[in-house]
Amino acid sequence: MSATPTPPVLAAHRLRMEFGGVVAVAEVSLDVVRGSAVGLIGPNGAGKSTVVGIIAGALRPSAGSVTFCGEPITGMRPYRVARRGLVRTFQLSSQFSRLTVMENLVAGAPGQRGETLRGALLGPRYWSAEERRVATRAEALLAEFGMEPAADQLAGSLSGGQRRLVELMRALMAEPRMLLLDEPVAGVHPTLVDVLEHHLRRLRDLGITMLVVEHELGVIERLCDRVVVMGQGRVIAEGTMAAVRGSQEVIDAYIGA
Amino acid sequence: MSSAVQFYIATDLVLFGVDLIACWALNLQLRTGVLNFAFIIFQAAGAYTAAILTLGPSSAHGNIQSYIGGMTLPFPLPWVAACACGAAIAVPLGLIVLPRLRGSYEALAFLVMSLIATQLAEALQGVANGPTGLALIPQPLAGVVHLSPLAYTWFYVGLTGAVCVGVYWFVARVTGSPLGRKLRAIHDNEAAAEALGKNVTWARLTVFVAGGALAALSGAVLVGFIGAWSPSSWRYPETFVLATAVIVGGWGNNLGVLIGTAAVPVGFFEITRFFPTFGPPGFIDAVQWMAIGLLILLFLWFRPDGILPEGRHRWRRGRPASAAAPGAPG
Repeated sequence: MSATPTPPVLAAHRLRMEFGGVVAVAEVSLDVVRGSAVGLIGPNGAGKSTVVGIIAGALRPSAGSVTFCGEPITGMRPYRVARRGLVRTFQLSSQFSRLTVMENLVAGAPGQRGETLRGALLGPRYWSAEERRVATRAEALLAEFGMEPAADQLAGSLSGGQRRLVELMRALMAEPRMLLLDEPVAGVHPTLVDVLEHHLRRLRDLGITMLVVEHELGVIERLCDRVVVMGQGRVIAEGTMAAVRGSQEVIDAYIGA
Repeated sequence: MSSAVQFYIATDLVLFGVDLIACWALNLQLRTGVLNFAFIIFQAAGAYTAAILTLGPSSAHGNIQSYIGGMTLPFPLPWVAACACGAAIAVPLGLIVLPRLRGSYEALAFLVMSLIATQLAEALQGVANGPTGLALIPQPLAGVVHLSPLAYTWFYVGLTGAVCVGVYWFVARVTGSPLGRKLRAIHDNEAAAEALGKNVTWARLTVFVAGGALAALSGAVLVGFIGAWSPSSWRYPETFVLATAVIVGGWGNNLGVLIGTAAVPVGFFEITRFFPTFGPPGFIDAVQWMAIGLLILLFLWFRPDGILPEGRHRWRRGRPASAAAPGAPG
């Protein structure tokens, strides 16, 4: 530990979420420090996706607060959260199916001047320079991820793993200060899991802060410095993967004892 | 060519132009996933606005019809006002539906609005002359150009064509821009677009208001031509005729919409109006509606992307595809 602890980029404080009478999240607090990769794991129904939804603004918590870069974002609309640099991906792959891979990426760039009605009507003269800059960034990302050959393919025609890559690249186009990844390798062919994991680790090594929900514990172990384990709407353990692995409470939660 | 045939052709061209404006406007909304089943009330609002602003005070016609306001504004102010009116009513209606409702709920809410609007227009005798509607609406510029009826009809074809060109420019600018891409993205996956910082509600409201203004413009052009407007002109099924045109032609493609408009509203309704009648009374009408229903079913089943599907937006290196071909399918 350093002498002056860095304030967390993301801090969720005593989140609670009830749907009618059902308590999905009883009480969850977690911190993510700049440049770190934190895993959020737990058995099905533990409330992980609900926590992600609350942080991303898709759900308004019954109680508790979320701060991002020191500012409160609790209950803020998802697009506002994203504009602050907290960019999420989804459990079900959510590429824009009828857009090409290239268009998916370019659409991810924030605040484009041609995206307003006024900007669109002013025409290409007004927005094409920016469009070229965005496209250049997108092409660089495609090259980094080895997806150049698929640039003009419709995203809906890609394999599950490639869709995940598109979603990841698109999130990077949004200029994130932090990524919120909801099961980034779910439903991906095992050979492509390795590819995805490689890219996620590469992003971590580049210093991108991330909170990762994932069932593939091997991926979490290699990717994350720290994991938070949830069970029945609560945090039941926290620490390195090796440490939480030995926790009796975690073992009980996973085998349903 | 005999003047009767010329009348027939010119009239169909005007009606084609009106439907085309309406279909492009509707498609702007449908492509974003805004299921505006109340579309026709925006056309109606534009028609009423333009009518009242050209009719002058009711007393000028011996008070035979009652309506609110009544002015004689010079062309093109009534058309501009119609656009403004369409946009203005789109704001509250859009705010009621667009932030919360999606899919069939959204469509249903709009459909109900369409029904309510018709009922209101018929019940409120004093607003726009109730179920009888407005008549004797002066034709735009008729007093300025001084043409024979046939020549004026051709003049109106030109006027409508000019508006069509303008509206095409508008929709092509939108669909070929980063805004168009954003709208397609929203249609594809709203949650994902929102998670990338796109204000989905604002974008949906934008196309709703822009489409409302264009729909109203189509109404203004129509009423200036036919000179009368009543609730029977804009019952809710009219929206489905336009929607069928969009689906048949290809909802992802502005030129597809043009083909669909030529095929459905013009081919089925406007042209057959001039056919000799046969069978029992109402027979042709009923067959037309059945055909419309069948067309929607067949296309949604066998060719959901329409006659002219959306083109792939290929990227040329260093040059966005949409900018490379502004008129291209988009």
